[in-house]
Amino acid sequence: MNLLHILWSLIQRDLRLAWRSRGELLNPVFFLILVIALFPLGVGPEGKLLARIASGTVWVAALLATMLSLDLIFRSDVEDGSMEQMFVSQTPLSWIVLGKVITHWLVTGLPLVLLAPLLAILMHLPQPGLWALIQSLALGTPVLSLIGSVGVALTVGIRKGGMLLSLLVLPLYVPVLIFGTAAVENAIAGMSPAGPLLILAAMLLFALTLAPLTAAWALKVSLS
Amino acid sequence: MTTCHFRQIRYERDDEPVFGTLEFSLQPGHMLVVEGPNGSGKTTLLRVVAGFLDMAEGHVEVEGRTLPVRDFHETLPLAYAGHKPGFKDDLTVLENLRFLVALHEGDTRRIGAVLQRVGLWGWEDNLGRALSAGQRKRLALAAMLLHPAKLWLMDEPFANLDGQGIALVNALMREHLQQDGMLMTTSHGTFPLEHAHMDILRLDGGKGDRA
Amino acid sequence: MWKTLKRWFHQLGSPRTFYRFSGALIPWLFVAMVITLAWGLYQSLLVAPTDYQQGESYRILYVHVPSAWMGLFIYVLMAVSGLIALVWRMKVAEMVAIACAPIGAAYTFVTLVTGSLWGKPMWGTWWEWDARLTSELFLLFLYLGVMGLYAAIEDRRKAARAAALLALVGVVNLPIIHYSVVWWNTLHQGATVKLFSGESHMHPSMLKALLIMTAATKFHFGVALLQSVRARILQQESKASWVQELVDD
Repeated sequence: MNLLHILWSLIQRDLRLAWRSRGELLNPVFFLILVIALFPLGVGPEGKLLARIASGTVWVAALLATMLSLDLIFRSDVEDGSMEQMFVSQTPLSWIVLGKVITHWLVTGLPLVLLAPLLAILMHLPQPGLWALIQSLALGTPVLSLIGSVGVALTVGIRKGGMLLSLLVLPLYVPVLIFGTAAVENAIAGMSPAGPLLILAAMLLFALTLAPLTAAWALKVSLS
Repeated sequence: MTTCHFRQIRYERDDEPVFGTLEFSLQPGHMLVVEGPNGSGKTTLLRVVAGFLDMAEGHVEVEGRTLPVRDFHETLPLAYAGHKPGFKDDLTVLENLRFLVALHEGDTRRIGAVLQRVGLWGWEDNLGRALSAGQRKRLALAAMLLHPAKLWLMDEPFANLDGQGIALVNALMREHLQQDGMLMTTSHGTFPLEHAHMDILRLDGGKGDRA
Repeated sequence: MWKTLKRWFHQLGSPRTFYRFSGALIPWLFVAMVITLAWGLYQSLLVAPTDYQQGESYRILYVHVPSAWMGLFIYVLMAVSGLIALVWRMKVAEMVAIACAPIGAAYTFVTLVTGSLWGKPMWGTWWEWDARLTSELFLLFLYLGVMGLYAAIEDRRKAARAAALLALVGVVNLPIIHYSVVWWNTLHQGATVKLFSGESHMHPSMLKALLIMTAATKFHFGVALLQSVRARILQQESKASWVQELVDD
C-alpha cells in the first residue's frame, strides 16, 4: 500500500515536471512526424510503395523517437541530486525505476500510440492494418521504454552518452520491431495479428519483471 | 539504535586508494566530524556511508551483526545532504517537500511547522529556482527534518549560510543529538559548534588515521 | 573435492596467481594452436574432398563455421565472467570479461566477412539478409556496445562492471534476438541456401577438418585471452610490489 503511494507520488511529480517543460514534451512527437514525412521525399510519393513500407517506417520512427527521449528518464534527477535522495530512501530502487519508466511511457510512448492513425494516413497504410498498428504500438512501446531504462542507467554517468546509448539499445529493440511490424503485415494480408501481438505481450511481461531490477543494478554501478 | 562500528573501510578510485583503511564508530547522541584538507576524501567517505559507492569495501558491526558497508544504508533510515540540492528547480517548495516526505515515508502534517522552523514560511509556493543559495540550503534542511532518519550525513552543512543560518543548523544538530540521533559531517578547519559529544576523524590525504 | 576446487578458484582470483598461472599455460596453448592450425589447414584445404555442388569455394566454411561458434562461445564466456565479477567482485573476472570483448568481436567480424565472401558465388550478391548472417551482425553490435561502454567510462573498474552488466543483458537477449530474426526470415522467405545440407551428407574427412579447425580457434582464443588479461593485470596492478619486482628484474 505504502509502496503504491510512493509510486503514485513519483509519477505525479514527474508528470508535473514534464508539464512544466512542455516545450520539450512535444519534441519526440514532432520528430516522429518529421521522420515519417521524410520517407515519401526519399522513396517517392507513390501510394502503393508507401503502403508497402508503412508499418516498417512507422515502427522504425517509433524506435528512434523513443531512443532519443530516453535521456529524460534519469538525467535531471542525477544532475540535481534527487537520485541521491532516492538512493538513501528505504524504497527499493527498482520500484523507483518502474515509476520513472511508467512516466516516460505516458509522456513519449502513449502519444505515439495516439498518433498512429495520423501516421497511417500519411503513409497510406491499408485500412485493415490500422487497428493492429495501434495494438502493436500499445504493447511494444512500453517494452522500448523498459529496455531503454537499462541502457540509459548504464550511460547516465557519461557526459556524451547519446550515440553510445543508441549502440547499446537499438540491437535490443530488434525483436520488438520484428513482431510489431509482423502484426501489422499479418492484418494487412488478412490474417490474424494475434500471434505477434501475444509475443509482444509476453515480451512486455518479461521486460516488466526484469528491466527495473536490472536498471536499478546498473544505476548503482554507473553512479558509484 | 546502538553504536555502529565501521571496520576496515576502504575505497579506491582508478586503483588508487582515496583514503587509507579507516576505523570509526557512529554513536547515538554523538557527532562524528570528518576533518582533513581538500581532496582528502571527506565527501567520498560520507558517500561510502550513504551507500552510493558500489565498490566500497569494509564492514559495519551493528547490533551484533556484521554486514558489508555498502549494505549499511538499508538497515536504518538515513538522511543525506550533499553538494547537490536534492530537489527540483521546477517544483515549488511545497511540491518538493510533499514528494520527499512521501518518498521517505515521513509525516505530511509536519510540513508547515518545519517550514516555519527553517524560515521558509511564506515561500512555499515559490519554485525551487527562485530561491537564493541560502534558502536552497534551508529547503534541503527542511527535507531532512521531515525524515524519520536516525543518521544524518551532512556534507559542508555551513556553506552558503549567513549567521542566522549557521545558528539554525547548530540548533537543529543539537536537537537531533539530544534525541539520540547520530550525525556525521565534514568541515574545513574549525567547527563552530561546542558540544561534549563530538568525535573527530582526521583524514590526511591518503593516509587516514584512527578516530 | 568441492573445497579444493573452491580454494583453487579463489587463488586464481588473485591477479598475482593468475598472472603466474597463465604465464605457465600460454606456451603450451600456443604450441597446441600452431599444431592444430597447421593440421587443420592441411586437412581442410588438401585432404577434404571438393563439394560436388559448391566446388572449392565451400572450403571457406572451415574458417566461417569455427569463427561463428567462437563468436557465440566468447559472448557467453564474457557474460559468465561478468556475472562472477559483479556478484563476487573479482578483479580478475572483470579483466577476463573485458578482454573477451575485442576477441569475440574479431571472430564475429571474420564470420561476417567470410559469410559474405562465400555468399558472392552462392547467392550472387555480397550480402543477403539471411537469418544467420543477420543475427551475427547484431551479435557484432552487442560486442561493440560492450566495448564502447567500457571505453566511455574513465574509472577502469567501474567501466568493467558496467560493461559486464551490459554483457549479461546481452546474453539474456541474444536468444530472443536470434529466434526473432530466424522467424522474420522464414516469414519473408529469404535465402535458404545452407552451408550444410545435413550432417549425413557430410564426408567424414570434412567433419574431421572442421573439428580440428574448431580446436585451433579455441587454442588461439586461449592464448589471446590470457595475453590480454596479463597485460591488463600489469597495467592495473602497476603499483603493487610484485609487479614492481617483476619490472626491476
